[in-house]
Amino acid sequence: MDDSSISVTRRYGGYVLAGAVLLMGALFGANWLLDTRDLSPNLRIAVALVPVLGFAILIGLEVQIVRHLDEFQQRVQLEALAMAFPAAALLGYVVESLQKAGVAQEWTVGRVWPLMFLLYVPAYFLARWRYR
Amino acid sequence: MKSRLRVLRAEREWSQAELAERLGVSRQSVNAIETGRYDPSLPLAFRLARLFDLPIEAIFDPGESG
Repeated sequence: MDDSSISVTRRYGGYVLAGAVLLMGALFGANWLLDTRDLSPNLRIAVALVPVLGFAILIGLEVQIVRHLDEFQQRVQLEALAMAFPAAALLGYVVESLQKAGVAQEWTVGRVWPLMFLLYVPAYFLARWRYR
Repeated sequence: MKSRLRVLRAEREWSQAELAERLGVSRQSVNAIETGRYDPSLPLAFRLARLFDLPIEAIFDPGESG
């Protein structure tokens, strides 16, 4: 990460951290409530959707960060996403195929898509490596 | 696309970080332009031209493709 990226990260880093903490709290809190409390059907829907707010905040922050990157960094980000997104889709296909074959039954698409964030990291460094 | 950016920068004894700061871009961007792995947008090319007080074609050589 270079100087310009660092300045953008410093500007929004606190907000991203706060958003991530909020999201994790909402995820664990919602899951805990849904697993342990006897809630009405309407309240269960509301509780289940609470983490969406955290995701929305993080998406908004991500957009702000990308908008403040320079044109070259935006290209690197685009290439990283262009690798990570189809890779996550491929992983989803692999999991579905394995399930048809009778294995990996415990995996769901909901567990595969978050891996896109993990796939993004090597994809980002690969994209940067191309322009070294 | 080839560029004379590294030479022009060296003539002014600027580091990549210093040039990046003057342009308002990242050092990584300057490096990618200097190595010819990234072609800057027209607005950025104009900013470079103004900074070095040269026409764009004195900094960049599009080669055969131009």
